[in-house]
Amino acid sequence: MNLKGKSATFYLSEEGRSFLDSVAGDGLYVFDVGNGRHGIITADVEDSEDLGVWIRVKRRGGSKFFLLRWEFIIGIEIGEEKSKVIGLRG
Amino acid sequence: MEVFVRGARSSSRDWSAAQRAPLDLLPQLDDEQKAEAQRGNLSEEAYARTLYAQQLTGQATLQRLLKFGQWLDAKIEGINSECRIDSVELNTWEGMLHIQGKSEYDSFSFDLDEDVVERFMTTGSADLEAAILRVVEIFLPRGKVAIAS
Repeated sequence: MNLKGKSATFYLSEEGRSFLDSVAGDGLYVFDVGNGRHGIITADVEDSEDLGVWIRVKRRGGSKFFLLRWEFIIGIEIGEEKSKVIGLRG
Repeated sequence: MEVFVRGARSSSRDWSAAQRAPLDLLPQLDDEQKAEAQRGNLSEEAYARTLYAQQLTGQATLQRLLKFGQWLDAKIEGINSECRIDSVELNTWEGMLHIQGKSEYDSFSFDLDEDVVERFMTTGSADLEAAILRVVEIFLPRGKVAIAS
């Protein structure tokens, strides 16, 4: 499955959750209200690779990419309807 | 010719633009979308910005698909003047383009790797063009097929 550009919800392990708390807690990263709580974070995927998933996050001063390592992720949910289709006649 | 994009996604450029967009440009969420935002621990505004980014990328992707489809249709017509493309559909989950068309008596369909098409669209590479046209040759009805150059 090609995750690039998709919006996905990530369920994090305990380790991932505490890591997220620590990076969010230092105020550098601006997670949406509630996002990241209970070890659940919803984000748009920039790309995925062997190390993990690059997600797009807001950081003070602009947009950044953040690597969420596979070992911190215990589940991924793609909420988007797979059948969504847009079209154009030319 | 019709072009379709199956499955929503956003580019990083459109995502960044959506983060800066004024609130009145963002789509209104229906009840299902509001529930979806809540399930993902997202605010409704953040969810709307994601949807807006997907809309921007979707429209841009349709325009690129149409450009590619028109280019490919002209190439196919040059190979077999009886053949025309009816539709080009990009499946964003598979990263594949599905091409469907017909001649007077036959129909044809084939798939192209999105990465190959995208690299061709950004480089104009003759090697990639040749690779794409080799796939076309395999699947085009054989009736009056000429050698693709």
